[in-house]
Amino acid sequence: MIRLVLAPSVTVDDLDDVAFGLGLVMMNILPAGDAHPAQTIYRTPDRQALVHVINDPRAAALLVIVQGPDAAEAAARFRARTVVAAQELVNA
Amino acid sequence: MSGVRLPFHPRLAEHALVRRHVIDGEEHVVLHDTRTGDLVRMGTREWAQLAAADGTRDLAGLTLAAAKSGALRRASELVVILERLQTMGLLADGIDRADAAPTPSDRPLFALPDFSLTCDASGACCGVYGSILFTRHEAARARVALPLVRDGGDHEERVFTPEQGTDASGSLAVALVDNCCAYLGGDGRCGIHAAAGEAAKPAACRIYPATFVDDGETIRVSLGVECACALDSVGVAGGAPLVADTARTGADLPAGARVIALPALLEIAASVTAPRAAYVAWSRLLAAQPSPADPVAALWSLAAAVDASGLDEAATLAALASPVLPDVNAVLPWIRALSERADSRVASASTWRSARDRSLTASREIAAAAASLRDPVALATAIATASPDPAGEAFYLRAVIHGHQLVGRLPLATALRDRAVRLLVARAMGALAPALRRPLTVLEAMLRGHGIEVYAREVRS
Repeated sequence: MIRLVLAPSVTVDDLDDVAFGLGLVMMNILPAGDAHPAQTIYRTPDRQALVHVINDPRAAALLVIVQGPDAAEAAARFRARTVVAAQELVNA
Repeated sequence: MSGVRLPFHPRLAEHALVRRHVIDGEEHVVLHDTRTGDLVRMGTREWAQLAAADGTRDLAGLTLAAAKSGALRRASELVVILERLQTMGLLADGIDRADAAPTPSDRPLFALPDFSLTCDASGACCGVYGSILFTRHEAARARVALPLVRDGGDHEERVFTPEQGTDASGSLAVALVDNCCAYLGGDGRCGIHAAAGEAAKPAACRIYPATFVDDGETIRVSLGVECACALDSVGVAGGAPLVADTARTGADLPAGARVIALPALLEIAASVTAPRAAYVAWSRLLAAQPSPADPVAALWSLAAAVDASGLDEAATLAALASPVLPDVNAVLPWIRALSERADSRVASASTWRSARDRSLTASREIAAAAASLRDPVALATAIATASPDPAGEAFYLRAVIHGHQLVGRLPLATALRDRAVRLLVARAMGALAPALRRPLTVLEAMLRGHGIEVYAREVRS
C-alpha cells in the first residue's frame, strides 16, 4: 500500500481531473465516519489497483492511498499528473 | 462554497421539463421552467449527470451514478449544475409527489355533439409542440420498430427524457428534431405508423386533439382547437369521432387517455370561488344558447357579468343578450402582456431553435400580430371589425365551453377575457399573413404547448 501526501495547493477538482485523465473508475464515496475520514474510491481500468482519495479536514493536504498488485505503477502514474509532497510505503 | 443550500436528495421539480432537441443536426438538452417560461440549455453530458437526480440519491450517490454513466469529469461540475437549478427554484427534495385521484370508471362520457375529425395526415401537429408523450410501453415499442432513430434501439436516453422533472417512471417525452417528433418521417407521415401500424402509435397521438375533463357528473369529451384540421372538420360529416361511438363511460376511454378532474371549488373571479356543480350548470346554460354574433363581445361581457354577479343565471343571459364590445383601454394591457410574452419567446427561441422550426415561425407570427394591435387605433379597428371566420370562432367557443377549458388555470373571468384576446390576435395573424392556415389553431397550440399562455397572469392595467 502506498500513501501519497499531495501538495497543499492540490484541490479536489485537480484530483478529479487526474482521475478522469487516468481513466480511473469511481467505485464509491464514503462519508466520514468514526473509523475513517471521507474518501472517494476508484479502481484502475484493469482492476489491478484501488485508489482512495482521502479528504480529511483535519489534515493540511489531500491524501491518496494506492493498493493492489499494481499499486506501484498506479501511484507512479498518479504522481506524474499531480504535485506530490511525500510518498510512503505503508504496511497493510 | 457558494452558500447555496442543496436539497439532501435532489431531484428536478415537476415544473421542470427536460427536452432533447436536435437542432440543425446538433444535439441539445433544454430544460423548460413551466412556471416562469424560462429555459436552461445544457450539454448532453450535463443532462446525463443530472438525470440520476431522481430524489433517491444524496450528493455522493448522485456523483457515483454520474460516474457510472460515464458522464462525470469533476464532482464539482455536478454541484455547480445543482446549485444553478436550486437558485432558479427547479429542484425539490426526496420523492414525494401527489398522485392524481383516479376518475371513476363508471362516469358517463359526454362528447361534444355533432363533431368528427378529418385528419389531413400532413404531420403538421407533429412539429409544433414542445412535448410529445409516450408511455414507457409505447416508447419501448417505438424503439423496437425503429431502432436506428437516434440510435434509440440501444439507447433509450437518446430518444426520450422524462415528461416531468427527473421522474423516469412516468411518461416520456420524445426527442425533437427541429421541433418535429424524432419518429416523424421525411414525408410528413408517422414513422411508427408506417413501420408497425396505427395501433403502435402513442395513445396521445391517436387521441389528439381530444380532451377529457371529469366535472363530477360526466367526463366532458371535447378538443383543443389547436390543429387546422379541427376547424376544417366543422360541419363536415364522416370523420373520426373524438371517442369511439361505442364508448359510454370512463372505462371505455382508450388506454393512455388523461382525464383531468375539476376541483370541487373553482376560482371564478379574483378571490371568489364557486362549487364545481354551479360552474357545470353555468357551462350547460351557456352551451344551450345560440352562438353569439360577436364572440369577442360575448366573452368580454360574460367576464364582466362573472366579476359582478358570479355565476348568476340572469346576469349570464343578460350579458349574452346584449354583449358590449370591449373598450380599447381595457384590452390594451392584455395585448401588451401577450405581445411582451411573445417577443420574449421569439428572442429566446431565436438563440437556439432552427430556422426550420415551425414553433419559431409561429412565435414570430403571434408576436407580429400582437405588436400590430399595440397601436390603440389599430386595436379599436380590430375590435370593431367583424370576425373573418364566424363559424370557426363559434365552434372554438363551443369546444372551449363544452370541454371546461375556461377553468382550472385562471379565474373564470380572467379566462373569458383571455379567450377574447386570443380571438383578436388570431384575427390579426390572419390579416398579416393571409396564407396562414387557420391562425386561431396556430395560436392555441403555441399558447398551450409553449407556455405563452402565462401572459394572462402578467396583465398590468
